[in-house]
Amino acid sequence: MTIDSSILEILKKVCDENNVDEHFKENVQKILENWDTGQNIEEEVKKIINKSD
Amino acid sequence: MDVRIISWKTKGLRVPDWEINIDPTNGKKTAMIMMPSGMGKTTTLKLLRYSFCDYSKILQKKDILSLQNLNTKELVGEFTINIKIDNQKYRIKSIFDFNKCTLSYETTDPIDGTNKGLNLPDEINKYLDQEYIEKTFFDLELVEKLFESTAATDSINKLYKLYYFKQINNFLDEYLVKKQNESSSGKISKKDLEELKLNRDKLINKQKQLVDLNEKNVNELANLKLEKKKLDKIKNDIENSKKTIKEKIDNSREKISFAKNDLKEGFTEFYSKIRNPILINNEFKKKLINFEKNLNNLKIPESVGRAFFDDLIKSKSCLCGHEMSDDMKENILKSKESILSEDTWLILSVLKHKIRKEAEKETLNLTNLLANIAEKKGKLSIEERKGNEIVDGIDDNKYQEAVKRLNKIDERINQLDLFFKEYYEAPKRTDSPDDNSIKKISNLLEITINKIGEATATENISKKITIIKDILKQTEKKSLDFITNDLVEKINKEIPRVMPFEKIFVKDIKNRIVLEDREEGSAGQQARIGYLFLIKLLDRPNLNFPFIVDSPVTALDDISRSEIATTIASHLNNQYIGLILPKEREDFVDVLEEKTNNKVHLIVAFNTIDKETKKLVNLAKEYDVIKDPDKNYIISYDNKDFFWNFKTNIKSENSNE
Repeated sequence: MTIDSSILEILKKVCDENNVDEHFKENVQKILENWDTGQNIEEEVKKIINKSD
Repeated sequence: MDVRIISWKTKGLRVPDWEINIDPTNGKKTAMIMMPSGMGKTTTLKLLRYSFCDYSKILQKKDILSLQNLNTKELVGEFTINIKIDNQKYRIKSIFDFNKCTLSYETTDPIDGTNKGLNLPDEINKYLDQEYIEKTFFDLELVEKLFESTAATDSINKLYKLYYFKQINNFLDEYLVKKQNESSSGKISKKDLEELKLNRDKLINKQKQLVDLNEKNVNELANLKLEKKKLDKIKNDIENSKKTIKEKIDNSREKISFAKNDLKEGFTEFYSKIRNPILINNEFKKKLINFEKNLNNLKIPESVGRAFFDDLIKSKSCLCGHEMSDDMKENILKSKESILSEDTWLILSVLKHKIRKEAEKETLNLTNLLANIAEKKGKLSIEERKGNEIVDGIDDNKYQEAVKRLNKIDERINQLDLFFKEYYEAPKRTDSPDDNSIKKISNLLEITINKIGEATATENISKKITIIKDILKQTEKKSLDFITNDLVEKINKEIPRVMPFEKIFVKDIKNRIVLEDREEGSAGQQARIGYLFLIKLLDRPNLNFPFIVDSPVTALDDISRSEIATTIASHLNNQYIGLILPKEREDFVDVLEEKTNNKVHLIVAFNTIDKETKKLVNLAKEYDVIKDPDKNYIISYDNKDFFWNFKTNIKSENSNE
């Protein structure tokens, strides 16, 4: 992974500030990590969308 | 991890087939490689970049062909670099196929031996992408741009991958469109839905066009402002010079007038002297003295009268000493009545007095007199030439061109300002898809997407995607702020150490580096802060990677050069390789040597193919650098005399230039 770890930390904080759940937080983080390593992010997006509130 | 470059070797490329060795293990972590202009400095920088990051899919056909040796036209070129990673030897070979226009790699490592591909350890590979390499192996222009355009923020965005956020945002937009297109719940008619989708697609296109145009215009505005700044300086310089021009012309006219008078006086003096013929020539002087003597002997003009001429006819010689011929006697008889009139008597008296008086003086030195005239004439010519130069110096064309261009720039900046004003206009009820405000278009798009969401029962997807986008947008902004603040703090922490006498601090990085308390610093101050910015920006945990700089101080003055050298020697832990021109030596390499206790590789390298390089080969010979007859280049290592006396503008012995 080439993205700086500080950016992932900021992402986590922003998620907390926006009161999103852990599932959302985990998946949005995965979206960024997968994008960084060139993997598909559609699965992670689907997981967020399909999770009932 | 510590990465050091040991040597590199080229073959069949647009630089000689040579090997350059800069082994830093002997304590010399700094290398100055001096090449004459046009002998491959920039090509070398590119080849070094291509060795650390896989450029095989990045380079275009023209990039590869630009590396081919045009003399030998070899179909394959190779660049082999030997490096040490934590003291382990690695070799990377970049292979350029000029027929297929491809680049491929071979890597030799201490464990697996030689294999195809660029296979550096993962620990290093994760940092070495195109952005990192192009910032680490750079030219001074990049440092200058950090203070002028959006280069500073662009560099942060690229190196910290903040551009990912926009890419993911685009992906999410496309994902939503795809989902909306896939579903239809029948809440509205098919025709209405199609119309909404058509509107949405139009708005997406418009939004994309506006974003692209805005990005283009932001760059254009930055470049125009930079150009305007440079042109304003040219214009002001010419205007200031014009203010003093009248004074200069008056002064010159006075000097010309003085020189003209001086010359005139010189001529007057010269003519007054040569009007006295007795002093012009020694022989002539002798003859006149003799003439006066004979007049005395014959008591002329006292003994004037007919008897005198009768006696003269009888005498054997004339007054001047010539033998008296029959013709002369006949002429005297004919003229004796009229010759000695009262006037003639008077003239002869004066003549005698004059000869007697002047005979005591020294004969004139005509050569000196003429040299004096020539000197005065020369002085006049110099003053006249200076006067002409002042007039020629009034560069009206350049001034007019600058003014013309500035007017065009102002006009364009006004247009761009109108664009930005419109671009950020707030949404209204009456907005249309033809508006040029990103806020209006985005608002219309959101409304349309929501309508489609309701119609296709995809509101949940739309809502979730909006949340993801919002979270990512906030993260992007906070990340940029965090990185920027962190960089500013790190740079400012170093300022007292690197610039102890100036202490110019960085205020912020908003597109460009903004300084505290001043609009801009001197070229040297900015260059040192620019170096600090890059050092801190490129700083990676546990990675010490070389800095390679093409023309590191080319446009800097002596003080700035010396300051940069001090920064490199005292504050840079990385290996530093400078590809320099001969004109960059002074006040830079000498300071580097002094500050590092001579721990600098001093290398001179040039090809010997070109006809003009014969003089360079001869110069090398004078410093015991002998050309190998089998090689078409010369490389000199650590020959200080040759390094410091190497010059490219050597005049031939017969040249009068």
